[in-house]
Amino acid sequence: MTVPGNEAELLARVVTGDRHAFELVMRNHEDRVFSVCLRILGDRERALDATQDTFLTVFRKARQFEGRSAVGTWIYRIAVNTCYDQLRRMQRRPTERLPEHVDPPDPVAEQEIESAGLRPEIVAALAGLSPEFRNAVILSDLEGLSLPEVADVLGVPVGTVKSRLFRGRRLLARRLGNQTTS
Amino acid sequence: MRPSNQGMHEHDLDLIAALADGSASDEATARSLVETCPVCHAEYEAQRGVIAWLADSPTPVMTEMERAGLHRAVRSAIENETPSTAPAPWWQRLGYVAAGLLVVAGLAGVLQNAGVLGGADGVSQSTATTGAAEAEAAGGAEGTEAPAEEVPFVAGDAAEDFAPQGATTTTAAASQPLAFPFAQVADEARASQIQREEADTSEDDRECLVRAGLDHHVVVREIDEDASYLVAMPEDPAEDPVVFFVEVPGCRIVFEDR
Repeated sequence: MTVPGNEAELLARVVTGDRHAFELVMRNHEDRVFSVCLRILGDRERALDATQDTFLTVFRKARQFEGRSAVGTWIYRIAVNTCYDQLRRMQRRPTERLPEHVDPPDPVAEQEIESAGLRPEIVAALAGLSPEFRNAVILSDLEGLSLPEVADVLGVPVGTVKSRLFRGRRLLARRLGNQTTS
Repeated sequence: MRPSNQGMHEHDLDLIAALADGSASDEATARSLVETCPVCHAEYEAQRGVIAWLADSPTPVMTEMERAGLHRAVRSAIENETPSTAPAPWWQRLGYVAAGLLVVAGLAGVLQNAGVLGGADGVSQSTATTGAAEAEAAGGAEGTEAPAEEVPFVAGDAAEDFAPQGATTTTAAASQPLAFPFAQVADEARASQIQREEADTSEDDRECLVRAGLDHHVVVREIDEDASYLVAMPEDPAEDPVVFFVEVPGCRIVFEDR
């Protein structure tokens, strides 16, 4: 894992057109970006598209990174907003998905995807939350970001993150049936 | 301190949540609260249950095939591109200007000390100091963490769309441009003497409020203009008259006025 200071240097090299530096930045963050996108969007294809769009934005806008936060936080913020955009587009213009397997399915790949996927009950529970609560819960309780990091990614004060976490978990608890108060 | 459900307060909720996820700065106080308040204890257990359930979830990973496809697609897309050559953002340009002023002022000071330029002693030094302060102020954000309330510029339309707006007591959720007079409508809602306990909230609206995390709230007004909002307030008249705007059909809070 690259230390944050070096990451900022890497990003500065990206601005000069250094492809190798960009690939290093991407490799450092692609797993978490994909994980965040998959948890927000609940669909592997869309998550991969969003991951791709996120890194294209990182490359194209590297110059605009101002160093106020860690490079990772900046990238996750782009990822979350890219997912928001996808969700909005999906709401405005629901598209008919192509069949999942046009090619003959590869059993090994299928098994790999299944074991690397999301638990359906978690997808269903998270899907019932509004985006504000869902993203706070995903970033904090699933991705393990600290409260200030979540606040930075979502662009809201820490107090708002706390409130969204509490309410989001409360709604999840109710859905899971282990809520003991209303 | 805002009264909330069943005798708990907003800060209690924060304490309970923090104790449940291990981020409580004052754990003794939080524990004491949970041990002495049955409702708080139940909330705490519920929060812990959800956190444990989520923690049990494996982290999704890309398969090697997906990873290779991603790398191929990104490489291909940027093959003939260079990172944006757009002008540097305003804060950087301001920094350059300030640095330029600093150099000019410093040079003037040197020339003055050398007797090349006239003027009272100290004037040039004062100018140089001011220039340095401006340069620091303009460029000082670099390398420091932004306060949570500040929004560093983030690339892309999406990032701009979700920049938070509003004052400390008023939270605008991100995607909502402030063209709509939320604060004014909120004041009207508070001033209209609506008896909250008599508000007639339909089942659909109530479900929408619950989705937005606003259980124990009622709809006091519906707005259907360019966008549609439910205007919601706590159903308990004893609670602070916080006004929430919930976008429909998305059922998300877009503005909160305290």
